[in-house]
Amino acid sequence: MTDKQNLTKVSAHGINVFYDTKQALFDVSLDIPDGSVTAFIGPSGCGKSTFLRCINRMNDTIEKCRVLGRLEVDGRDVNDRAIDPVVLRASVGMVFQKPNPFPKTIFENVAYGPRIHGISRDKTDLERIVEESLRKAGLWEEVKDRLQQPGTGLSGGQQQRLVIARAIAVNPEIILMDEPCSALDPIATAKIEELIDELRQNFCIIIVTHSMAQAARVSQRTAFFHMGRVVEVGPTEEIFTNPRDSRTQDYITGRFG
Amino acid sequence: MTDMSPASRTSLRELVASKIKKRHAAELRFRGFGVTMVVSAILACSLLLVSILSQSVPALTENRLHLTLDVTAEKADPVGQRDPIDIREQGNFYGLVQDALEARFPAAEADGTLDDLFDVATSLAAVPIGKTIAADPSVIGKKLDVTLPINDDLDLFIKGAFGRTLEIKGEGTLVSALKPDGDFALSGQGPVFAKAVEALRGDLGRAAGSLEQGLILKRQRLATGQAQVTALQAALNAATAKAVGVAGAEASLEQAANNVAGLESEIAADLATIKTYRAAALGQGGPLPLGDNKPSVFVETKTGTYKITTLSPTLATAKLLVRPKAGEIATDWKMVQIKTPQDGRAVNDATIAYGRHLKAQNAIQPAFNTTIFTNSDSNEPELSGLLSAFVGSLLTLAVTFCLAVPIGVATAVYLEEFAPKNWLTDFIEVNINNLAAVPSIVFGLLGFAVFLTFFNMPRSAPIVGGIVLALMSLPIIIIASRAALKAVPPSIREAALGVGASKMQATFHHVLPLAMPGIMTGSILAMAHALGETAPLLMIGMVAFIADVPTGLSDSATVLPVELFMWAGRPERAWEPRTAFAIILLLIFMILMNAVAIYLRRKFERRW
Repeated sequence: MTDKQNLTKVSAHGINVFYDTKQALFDVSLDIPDGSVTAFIGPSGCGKSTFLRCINRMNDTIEKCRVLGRLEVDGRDVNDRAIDPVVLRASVGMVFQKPNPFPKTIFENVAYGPRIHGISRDKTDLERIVEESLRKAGLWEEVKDRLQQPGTGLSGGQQQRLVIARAIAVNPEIILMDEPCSALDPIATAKIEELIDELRQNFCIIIVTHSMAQAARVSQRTAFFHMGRVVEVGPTEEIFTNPRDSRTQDYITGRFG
Repeated sequence: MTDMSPASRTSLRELVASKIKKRHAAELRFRGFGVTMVVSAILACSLLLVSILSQSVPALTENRLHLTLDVTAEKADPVGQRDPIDIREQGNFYGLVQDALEARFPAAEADGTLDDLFDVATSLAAVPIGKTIAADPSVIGKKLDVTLPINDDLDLFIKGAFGRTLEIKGEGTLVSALKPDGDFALSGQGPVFAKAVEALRGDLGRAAGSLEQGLILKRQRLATGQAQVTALQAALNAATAKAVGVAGAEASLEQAANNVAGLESEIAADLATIKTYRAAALGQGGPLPLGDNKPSVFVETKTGTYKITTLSPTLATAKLLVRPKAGEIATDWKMVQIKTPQDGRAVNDATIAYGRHLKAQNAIQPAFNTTIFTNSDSNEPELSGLLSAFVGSLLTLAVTFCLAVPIGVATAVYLEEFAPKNWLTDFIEVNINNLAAVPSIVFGLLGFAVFLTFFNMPRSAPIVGGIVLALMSLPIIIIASRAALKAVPPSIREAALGVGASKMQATFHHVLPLAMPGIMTGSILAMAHALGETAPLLMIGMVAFIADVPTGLSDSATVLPVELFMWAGRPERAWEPRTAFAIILLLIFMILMNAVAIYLRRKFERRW
């Protein structure tokens, strides 16, 4: 476990992102270790989601968005022409702010990833993957009797866990979470946080959050973004108890943002 | 705003209160306008529907002639080989019908009313009989029961389209005596025609009244004409003095003078007619004269019909229309008055008389009009149907659907999901939107210039019509499909891309299925639009007389709206209800297609 934690999974060097002419990220350099939860905090519009979306190249889907700089996952530049974003996204899963299950059955939601990547050998294998993923997402007990019902019929918290199950069904190495609890009530949030803590064993998790308390609860490392720059990055405990930068201090104490 | 005193607050409240009445009134007015608009739209729509429906009523039923034919070999198969092709081409089937009719009224030939009798059914109506006999030559030499539609004008008469037919039951026994001039003198015991004379006098009085009304207008026109003549005379004098333009002035004067003379003689004739009518209405001047320009009055016995030419309460002179059976004692007789004079209708008195007898014998019976569904276009309204136009519409729409929907949806998917956003795609988008507003006849011209002239494709063919309609529907389908694709939330695309789907997989597995209800609705509405389109098809020659059901995409064909456009332009009165009936059928198809669109949208609508 400890070995894994020390390995650098994602490494960014001088990332600049432009939306048309507006620059969203300025020279961001950051190392994210494997086997842990890294939280990105910062005020709205500071570029933390933009950076998150650089890691699985979701920014490609945005017209007029340009990403410059070197961003390595396992030592390979994701912006390399040789890297297919489809392959990249199979190993870097993503969970969005608003739960977005497909308007299909619960089973189909989870089975979609394995099916398009051809991971499962046959039907029983697929069923096994679906069950395993739902178990890992802590949803199996709640939905095992209604796998053929639409995923959109679940509650918000269940939908978000379904989406996490869908992401882990293709067995990614990294899971990106873009404010996964902002649309959920405190009980559902607690369940998701618990789940994140469990998933840390097997995945490198990067989470964007607006809740300082959540960052403190679930993450081992925290990066503070401000105005498109990384102001400070370090072990969560250190950031929250003894920040080096005054802006970090102001933000976590609620003086701005 | 922060340092508001209680006093200023109160005045603010008062200001708001004073304006609120105005705001409510504006809202009420707006709602009133809305309700008025909706109500007037509904009224206009129902007026349209009611008028079409009421016009189509006569076309709902048709009167059919039931005859038992004596299928003789010399008429049905003059060649004698019992060969179906010979039979169909050489057989005289209308002759069989004529024989059967003559057998019912043997005296018609001697009386010279044979043509009127045969007018009950047209020769084209006998064509299906030929097909029946050709299909089964064994009926030759036997009896064959057939049913055929009757002459459209007689059909309209029986349905009451020429005004109400009055019947007055006669009293006593009718006595008819042949006069030396060939007419008949009809009389009974006493003034048997008194009631009819009374009724006719009233009619004549009214006719005189309406003529007098018309005279007022004619006199006004005469006065203007006379003034014009005076003015032109002055102009001519001036021209003669100057010796310029004399010929022109003379010509105009002459024309005006002729006009005046014509009007004067018309007025004189009207005055004379009014005088006779008035005199007759008052019972002066002897028996009432009844010409072909006045309502026809028949005396009808069980087996015969006379048409009255002069009428007095006790005595009528009459022409024979249908000769009664020899030795008939006419105890059961009636007088029949037909409001429209013979001059004002396309079916003459003798044919009507025969028609009435055939109806009385149950040989003419009304039935639901199936001809309009089973027959194709014809020159005779009673034989015309919509089958070929319907099949033509189906074939054309099939071509349109197969071309427009795949191309339109593919274009929409590419433009919406894959195309880079730059000036070229913007330009294409603007032009697609503009194409949707291009008048459809322009597409017809394009089809004519490109497909017919350049590619030499067949004229009047569903394939060309389908292509032209596809071009016309494409922009509509593209716009509807793009709107449907845009309505799919981007979170679905992100979700698919997030688990590693390629752009194409995300589109075809998730976005397109979710957009499908909207796309189908748009496509079906575009198809319904294409079904009702007429103008572009006129350009490529689909406005043709198609008597055969088209069997392929390159056969000559026409479509429903063009067919009813053609029917509406034909002169016979019987086309009018048929056109209305065709409109109703077209509307039913439209409503069906729209209903399917709504059903599909409801069924596949998904919420997220």
